[in-house]
Amino acid sequence: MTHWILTFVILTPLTASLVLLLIPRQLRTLVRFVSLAGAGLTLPAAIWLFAAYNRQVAGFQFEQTLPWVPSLGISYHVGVDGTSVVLILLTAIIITGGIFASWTQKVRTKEFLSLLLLLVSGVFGVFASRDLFFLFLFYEIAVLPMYLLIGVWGTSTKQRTKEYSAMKLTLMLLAGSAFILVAILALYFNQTPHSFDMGAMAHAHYGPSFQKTIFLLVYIGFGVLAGIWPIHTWSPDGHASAPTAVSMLHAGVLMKLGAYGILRIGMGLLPDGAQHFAFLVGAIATINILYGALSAMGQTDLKYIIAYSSVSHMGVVMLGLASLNPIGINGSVMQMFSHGIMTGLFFACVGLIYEKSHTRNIPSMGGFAKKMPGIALLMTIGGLASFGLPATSGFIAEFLCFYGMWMRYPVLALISVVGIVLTAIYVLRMIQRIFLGQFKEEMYPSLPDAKTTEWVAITGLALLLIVVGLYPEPLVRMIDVSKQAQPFVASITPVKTPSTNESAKITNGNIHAQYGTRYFLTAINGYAMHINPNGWSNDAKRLQ
Amino acid sequence: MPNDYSSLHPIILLTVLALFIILLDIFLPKKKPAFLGWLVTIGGLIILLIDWHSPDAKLWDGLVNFTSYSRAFDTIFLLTLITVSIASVAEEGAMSFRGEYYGLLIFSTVGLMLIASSGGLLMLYLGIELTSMCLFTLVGFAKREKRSAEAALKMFIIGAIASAVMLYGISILYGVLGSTQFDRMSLAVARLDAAQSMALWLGVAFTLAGIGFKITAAPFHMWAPDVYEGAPTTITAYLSTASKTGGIAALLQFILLGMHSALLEWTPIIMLLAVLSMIVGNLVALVQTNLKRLLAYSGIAQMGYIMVAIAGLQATNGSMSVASAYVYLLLYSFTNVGGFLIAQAIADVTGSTEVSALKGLHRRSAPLAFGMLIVLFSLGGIPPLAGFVGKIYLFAAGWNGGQHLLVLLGAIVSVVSLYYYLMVALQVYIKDPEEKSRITVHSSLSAAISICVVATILIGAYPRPWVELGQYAASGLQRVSSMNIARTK
Repeated sequence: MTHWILTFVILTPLTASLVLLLIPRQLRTLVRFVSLAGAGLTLPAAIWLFAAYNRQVAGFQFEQTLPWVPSLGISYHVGVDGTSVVLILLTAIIITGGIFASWTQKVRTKEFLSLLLLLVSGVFGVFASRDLFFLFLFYEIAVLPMYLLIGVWGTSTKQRTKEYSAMKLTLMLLAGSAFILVAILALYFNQTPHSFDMGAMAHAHYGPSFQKTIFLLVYIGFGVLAGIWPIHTWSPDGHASAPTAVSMLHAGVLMKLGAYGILRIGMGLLPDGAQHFAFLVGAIATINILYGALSAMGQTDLKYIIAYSSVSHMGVVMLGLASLNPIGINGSVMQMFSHGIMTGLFFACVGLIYEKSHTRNIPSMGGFAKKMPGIALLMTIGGLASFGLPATSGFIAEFLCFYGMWMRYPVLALISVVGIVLTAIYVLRMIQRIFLGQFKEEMYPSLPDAKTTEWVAITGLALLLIVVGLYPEPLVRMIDVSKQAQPFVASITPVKTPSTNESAKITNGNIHAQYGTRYFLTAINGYAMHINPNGWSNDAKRLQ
Repeated sequence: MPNDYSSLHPIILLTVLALFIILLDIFLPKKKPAFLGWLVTIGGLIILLIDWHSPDAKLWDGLVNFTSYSRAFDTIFLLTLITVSIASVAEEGAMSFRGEYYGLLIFSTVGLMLIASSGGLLMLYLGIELTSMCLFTLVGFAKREKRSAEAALKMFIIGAIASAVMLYGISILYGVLGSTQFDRMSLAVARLDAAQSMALWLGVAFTLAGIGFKITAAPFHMWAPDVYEGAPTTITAYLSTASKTGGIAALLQFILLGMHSALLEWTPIIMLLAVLSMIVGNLVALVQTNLKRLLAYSGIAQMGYIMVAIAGLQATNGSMSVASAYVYLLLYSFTNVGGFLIAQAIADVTGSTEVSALKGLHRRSAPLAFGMLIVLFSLGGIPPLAGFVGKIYLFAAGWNGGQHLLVLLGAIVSVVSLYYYLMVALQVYIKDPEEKSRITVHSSLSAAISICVVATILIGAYPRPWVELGQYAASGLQRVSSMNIARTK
């Protein structure tokens, strides 16, 4: 059966992007509404996907296949599992928010929105593709417009010009895709009949040494975009120079493409390679968490703080993946969603503050809460989610990631948990120095709060953080990888599966102690129904 | 059917067309546009149609060999001739010998078609010489300009040496193998004993050096940047695409039909050419400030990518290499011609082919800026443009032939290449113009540019027919080479 829904989601922004090119630039309102339609129409579609996805059957659904170049085994094949659905939903939310956030954009609006929509259709394409050729094609479409978006519409910072940042970002990401390309070719040629279809590759039985080599290529290639240390250096410069909507999209969604690629190709197709390098991936993720947080503490430019916090949070995502058990991976995807929303909210707020106060330098701020209470409140909510306060989505996500890691490499879990404390320090300090304290009346004669369209974007995102934090169950159940494509789960069975007693001990003892009073019952009940260790190890036994 | 000469019709008709245009021009008023380029276009299209309807044939004891391979390559040559001719209409008013200009252009296309249909080294050499002779003249066509004259002399001297070297290589091969016909050569190679292989290697090396000159593969690339810069831009466009395509067509036939079993002789040479071309082309392009020189070095690098696929010919069935090289040459012809023609359009107004002349192009002419962006991104291999599909296909063919390291190197240096392509894009889209006046483009030139840009997008967006065309081309070569193998047994 052919489903057009995913093709609709991919093509809507692309169509809008092309239509925009035909509209005269004077009709600015029309330009804005067309782009809002292009982005906004994907949101109901994504919500429909979320609602209609059959959680009992799981696996890949809404599939559509069109032969593209049959003689080379290329087909346009889309389909989604729970992970993809959640990430598509995230993308739809962020781009809609991004369009609202750039509603007042005045310079070359038409081209800006057109490129933004082009980029987003690439992102949707990556999340929906089941064919590696198309996945790579969409991946490049998602990465490339960034060069012009930052180069033309960005702002130079004290340290870097926007041209430098744009070039650095583009070249580093494309160097990554060179590795990905080689990995894809290797995967393509090492199975017969040659095909780019991931479904076929999942049954290809690649040899262990082949898997190790290719996993490294995939890890490095996608790792650049995921911001893994030490190849994350494009991220702070790039995010700091980019205009608001672009930072939202890039930190919120694009960095997830990297993690998604590692999950889908690295771990999905090369499970032996992933097992072999799990400790390395985990250790680097730990460095990411701590290094990102420490760097964020040392910054005075608002955007640099958020950018480094993204590096730190992507570390949590990678930590969850490295655990290679369903709990960690569920947490990782949750964290992708949560961080996407949170960082989108952050960059939107920072954009607003910068637009109204014309500064991003923290020492020259203070007492802004008096003038912009709304933004102050919402940004604080984002900050709380950032260090995983219960009742925000960050809590569930980070808890699952650390818990998953605890089951595999407790040492790494212990070290990386320090990152939460560091995050709390820099986030709270940042909020304190911007919003509290003495307001310098003479420096900021007029400092209005957000306007209508801007409210839509930031309140929507902040509400989502809390709703997901209070009631994560639908999301977790959707992601639940233990119900996903079977060979993948069978192969990610952790080295040490905790027995029922052991894991109960972990739940009640250590984790309790670490999280202390932050243990939030509602939330826990929500996901425990579906991924309590008993339940999932039973699943695993059944699979074996 | 040994005496069916209808396969020769395209070549004969093209020659007639050239003579007719030279004659016609005598009777036309001078210094006025005569739209001869459109005449070439119509003629070229008709000949293309006839070519596709003429049968396969092997004439004169296999001296020429018309197959799907020659037909597919003729398509590239004729399409390039057509786009360049359309663009040249814009210059007709300023030309003093436009009849000869088109005549020589068509004659060089005849030479290229002879290369693609050659059954042995003799016809191959004749085709290469015919093309080169015409191009020497065309490069120096703006004879009152010092640079054009210098370019012509430079190309002539180096080209003559390259021809001599190649001829020497062919004579050695004849001495060792006893024939210049591909089918007999491959039989003889299979029977050769080890003592003669040094001579064989020399012959192969010299022949490849001659072809390397044609396709500007490093280290035989030195002439290209100077000549490209000095030659009239329309000729540069032709020189950098059709003439290189002819060189690759010759290379593929020489290796796959004649030398396929002499793996040890040609593989290291091709690998060396690939590595040097990719590295030299991309690194030297980084520091270029002239658009034509930049495109020249980028073209050297592009030939390196094609060499990666050709090095993969050693795979038992080299058809993937041939098909991918064909697809790449097809899209490269459109993309690169487009790039040079845009440079021409800008030079017509600003008088400069420097990259800095592109500053703020998007304000001065949005369509030209968009076209330039498409061309640059396609050359850089960015989806969904043609260059992306082409490059992946080439690398896939290289990988298939076991050249894993070459593919990795290719993937890495193509990231380097993006730097200079993006630097040009930076001038076009991000910098503000120094002069605000709008750039107007002659309608014929803009027609030619549009064809190139649309083709670049189209091939990338829907690669299937082009890939199948490439496989069709490969099947022609394959059939001939399997016939050779059958005879060996």
